[in-house]
Amino acid sequence: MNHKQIKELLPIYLYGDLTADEAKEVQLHLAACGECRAELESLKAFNDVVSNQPAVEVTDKLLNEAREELHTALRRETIRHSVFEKIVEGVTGIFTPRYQFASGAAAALLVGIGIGYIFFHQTNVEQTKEAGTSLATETSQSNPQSAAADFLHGDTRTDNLHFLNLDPQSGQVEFTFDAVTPMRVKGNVNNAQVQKVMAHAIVNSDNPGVRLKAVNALAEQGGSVTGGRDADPAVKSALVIALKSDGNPGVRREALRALLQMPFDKEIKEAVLFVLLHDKNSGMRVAAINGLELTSHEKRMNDADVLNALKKKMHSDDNNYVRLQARTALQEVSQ
Amino acid sequence: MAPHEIELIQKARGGDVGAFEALVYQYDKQVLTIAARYVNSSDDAKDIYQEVFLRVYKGLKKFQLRSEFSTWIFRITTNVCLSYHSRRKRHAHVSLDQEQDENDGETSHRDEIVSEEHSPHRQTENAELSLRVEEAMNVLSPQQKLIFTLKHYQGYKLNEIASMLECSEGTVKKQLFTAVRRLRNQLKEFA
Ligand SMILES: [Zn+2]
Repeated sequence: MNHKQIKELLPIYLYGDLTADEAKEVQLHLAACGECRAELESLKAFNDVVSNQPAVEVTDKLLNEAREELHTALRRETIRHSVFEKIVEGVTGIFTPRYQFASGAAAALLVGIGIGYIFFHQTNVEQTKEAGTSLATETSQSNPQSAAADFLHGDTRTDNLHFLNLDPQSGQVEFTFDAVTPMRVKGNVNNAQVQKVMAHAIVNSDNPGVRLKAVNALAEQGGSVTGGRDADPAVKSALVIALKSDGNPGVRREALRALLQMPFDKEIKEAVLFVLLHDKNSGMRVAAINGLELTSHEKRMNDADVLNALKKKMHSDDNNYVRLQARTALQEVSQ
Repeated sequence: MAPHEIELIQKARGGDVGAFEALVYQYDKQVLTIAARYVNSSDDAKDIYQEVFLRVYKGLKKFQLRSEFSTWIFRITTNVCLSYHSRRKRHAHVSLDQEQDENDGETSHRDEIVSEEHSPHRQTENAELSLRVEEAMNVLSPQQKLIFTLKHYQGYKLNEIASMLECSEGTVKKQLFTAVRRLRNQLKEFA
């Protein structure tokens, strides 16, 4: 290696990343070349300057915070996933001829739902193949249909088109895509299918007004939503997600109201405690305290988690009023 | 890959969050450390951490069991770091000078310096220096900055960095040289 090449290698030499042979060659050259020695000193000075840079320390506390936030996000992800699968079941149910909506609609909601390939695969809609259509589609290998073509009209939007096969010889094509069709769903809010559609809207709609209306419709029905039985897990999960993570406090407030009307169980308790401990909105924290106080009274229960959370808030909440409410509730509950 | 790791992966694929956590807690401190050094902010580092592991979780189904799990995690980490930088850049008002500053010109960040003028950190010389180092780092391209922090602060070997970034060792060396040259240029009054 010549002087220029050696000089280039000096940073790597300092980092100890050269092979033994290369390092030896550099050392030999350094002994003989003043310019490279000076360059090495200058590099060391630079390294010192940069090394003194203060860094964010990855403490156990920071790591645990990151883990907790991830845990919440993962739970949300799995719930979202399972809710979505239930919705697909529910919505495909709507389109089968067997299914009849309850009359006397209490809630009507317009939602766009992406279902896609699985949808065409699973439904048995009557086919009316138009003569002369050049688009031959196959949605299932065993059961050739032209269902997809029939859906490509009106308000349907398609997305995520993927070609699986393209045979120029025969002109056969095979592809999948998501079809997003706005659907008008009209039915009684007590109806399980309608509730699932609303649960989907609560979790997935970008529009806070839609989310609020959907949560509101479920809350309005109060006890009759559950009819004294256990609430639909998908609906409950959607409300829990909304309560814990919706950006709009109005939606969170309604979700809390709806959940407090359902049979109070561990999942709901944890969600309400989450609000008490983590919601940035003090009004929400107060509502959580009131909810806990009321249910504790009704159930005559003395839950350690609830007591601890209230104690914590009584001492350390930023908000005066929340502290006061927590103190009062604690007295009531522990009596 | 270790048999217990494969078992955890299979459970996690089925939606078992606990198994997923057991699986990734072997590597997650390293991921957080890489991110923290790269963005030099604990909040941003946590954002990157979360994004990395959500991507890992969602990608598990497609992960080939014959490849190395840790390598895959660190590849995702570097990808998220590099794109995270650009996501923040879009929000910050970065001057065009800075974007075009591919050469070692003296066009440093006048806006940033002005905005930091009132910062109390400028009181001491050390704080001034660390501010300048921070600024100098931001002159680097995201890839140069990542390679430099992985090498200089965390001591990863060149071949490890190459594997993380899915590029050749030669590319890593070249980018590292350029990073060092540009940083020295920015900081020549201090060293
Ligand atoms: Zn020389």
